Amino acid sequence: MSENILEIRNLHATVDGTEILKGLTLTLPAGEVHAMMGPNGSGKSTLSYVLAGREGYEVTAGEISYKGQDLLALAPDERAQAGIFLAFQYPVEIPGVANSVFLKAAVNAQRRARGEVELDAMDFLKRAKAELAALEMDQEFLSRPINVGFSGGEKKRNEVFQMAMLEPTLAVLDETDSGLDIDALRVVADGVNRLRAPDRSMLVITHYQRLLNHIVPDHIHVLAKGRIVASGGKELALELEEKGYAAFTGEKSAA
Amino acid sequence: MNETAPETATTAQAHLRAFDGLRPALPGAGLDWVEALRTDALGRFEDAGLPNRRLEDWKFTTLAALDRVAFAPGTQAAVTPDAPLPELSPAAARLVFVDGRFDESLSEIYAPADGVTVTTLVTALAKDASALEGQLSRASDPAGALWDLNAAFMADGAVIRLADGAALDQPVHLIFFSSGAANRANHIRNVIALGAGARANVVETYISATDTLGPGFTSAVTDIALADGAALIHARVQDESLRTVHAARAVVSVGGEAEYAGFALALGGEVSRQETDIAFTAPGGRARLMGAYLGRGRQLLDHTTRVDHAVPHCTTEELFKGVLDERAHGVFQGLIRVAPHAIGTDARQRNQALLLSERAVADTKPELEILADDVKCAHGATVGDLDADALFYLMARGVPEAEARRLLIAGFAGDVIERFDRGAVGAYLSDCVARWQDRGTGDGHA
Ligand SMILES: Nc1ncnc2c1ncn2[C@@H]1O[C@H](COP(=O)(O)OP(=O)(O)OP(=O)(O)O)[C@@H](O)[C@H]1O
Ligand SMILES: [Mg+2]
Repeated sequence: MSENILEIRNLHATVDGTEILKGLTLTLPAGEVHAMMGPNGSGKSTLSYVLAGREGYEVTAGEISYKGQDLLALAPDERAQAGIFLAFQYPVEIPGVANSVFLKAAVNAQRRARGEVELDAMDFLKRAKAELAALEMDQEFLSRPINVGFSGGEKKRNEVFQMAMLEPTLAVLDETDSGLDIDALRVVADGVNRLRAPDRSMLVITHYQRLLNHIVPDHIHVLAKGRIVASGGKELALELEEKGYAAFTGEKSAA
Repeated sequence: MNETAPETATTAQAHLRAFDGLRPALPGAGLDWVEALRTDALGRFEDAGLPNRRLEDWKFTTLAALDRVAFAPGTQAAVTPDAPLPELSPAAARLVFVDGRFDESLSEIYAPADGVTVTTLVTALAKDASALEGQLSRASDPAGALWDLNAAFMADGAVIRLADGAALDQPVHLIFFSSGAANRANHIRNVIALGAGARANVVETYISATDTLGPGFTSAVTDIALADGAALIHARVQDESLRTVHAARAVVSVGGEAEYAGFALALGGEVSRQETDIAFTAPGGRARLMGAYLGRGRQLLDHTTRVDHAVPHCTTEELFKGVLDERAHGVFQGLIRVAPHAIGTDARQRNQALLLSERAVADTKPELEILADDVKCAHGATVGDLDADALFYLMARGVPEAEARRLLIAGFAGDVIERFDRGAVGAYLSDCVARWQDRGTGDGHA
């Protein structure tokens, strides 16, 4: 399958009237994992929010096609139902709503949208427990309110757990490695690798080469000032590690 | 010149007129102390009249509905409930009162326990009136004309007493059903007394007929005395029809190292006022006062709390949460008084309201009177819309907006319920909130 899951062409986007993305072009073929690196504030999370459809992130020019469809015409819930998943850089804490209640609502909303039968409580629990075990997470996570009181690492694991349950077609992981200890990094990376499939694509945003030893990308892109300034194979990450971003952004390193 | 307007009777007038005729049929008739208590209360009521908005305590909440309709007390239950009664399980007992009168056929005591008495005010006053004298008289201390009216006309209610060390692990469920027929006023008086170290759970649910024709007035006072080391979990669910005026008061004395945990849930009613009065009587007492108010249409839902830290080293934790849609109006008033010698007091109070519509209103009035040094007191109030980040997070997982909003609202109220109780009582409160959500706007709830 050489079909592209995601095609972004000349994307310009503003946040509160400030242009953050300034002509970003990116193609993500089916089955591939692409990494995106770039300095703080370069627009990586902005891109992830634009893909997920967050309010206040306005596309002023360019287009995004997802499986040949105009992504920008869809509301956030419709995008998720169509198979887009964003692992948040900063997962939101929601007191009073149990993880299991939320995730069951999400799984079944997606199944409904695809015309599949909904999971009953038993089937849901069985699947959830299996995925939790694979991610070495305690089952009491299910009854806890969403992300409330979770450590940084637990929040990131919870994102990967949700991703595993929702089996997206396009997963965008925004710094899912930050805040993870070395063992957790391996567990989470294994979780992500298990999801690699010929009909599934991933965009992995990270600052660290270390993650890319575990999740080996097909391509690496460097984002700076709202534009992709370099693309290459996995050796690009090593080069970045060595030289810093300055060589790619044409600026002096801040350090 | 002066034309006399046709006289529309008010609730106050209807009660004053009914008193002498009704009196022989009220419990405790013929007992001097009960008669005196009723007469004194009626006298104070006659002097003061029902509270109006010129009183500081009633700044936000109007009882004008009681002037528009002449609600009158009665003796007979008008109807049997036409709706399924709410289920709380497991429960130790269920006592059902219809239009303020005990209905034995609908009631059941599942698991009587040693040292535990569960009965009615009518029976208790007939069998062993002296045991009630202290507490009944106490709650009739002047607390405002609204409560004087209750003292003058109290007709029935539950009496729950636990001996020292006795325990009721499963809740006692008290259900008060009002028919709303014939502009009926129901005056309910419950008495709860826990001996030293005793523990109990009590839930009161107030509901109305689904096809009620007329408006109703419910007045309910629950008098609670906790001896040293006793612990009570006490929830009050107000889910009456939207044509009901509901006025309820819990008056609680908390002994040394005793703990009162109270939850007041307001869902129904045209006007609802739920008061809680706490008096610590010995050091080391704890009060956890929590509640939620969920309103739509033009409902007015008022929670008023007064906590008297008259002794040292007592703790108060208050948390109330409101969800107000359409033109609903929520009121929270919280008075915390710390006496000069009440050192080591720790009192915290929070009220959080969600406004789901531009026309909804939330009023908060905290009042801290701190006359002691070396105390920790804090209060806070927030008013806002649903958290946009949380809404986006849920939608980004595929949950449609309407369902996401529903989850967040349930979660907002669920948070305070969870902090209150994670057992059968908490589960029951969550069910009540879910039923409120299912009713939706427009409201099939008569
Ligand atoms: N509401 C806003 N108004 C104006 N500028 C904003 C707003 N929100 C974000 N920005 C700016 O957009 C830029 C891009 O932010 P973004 O979060 O996309 O960066 P990032 O590449 O993900 O950075 P990091 O590596 O630190 O996570 C930043 O300069 C940020 O300050
Ligand atoms: Mg970022």
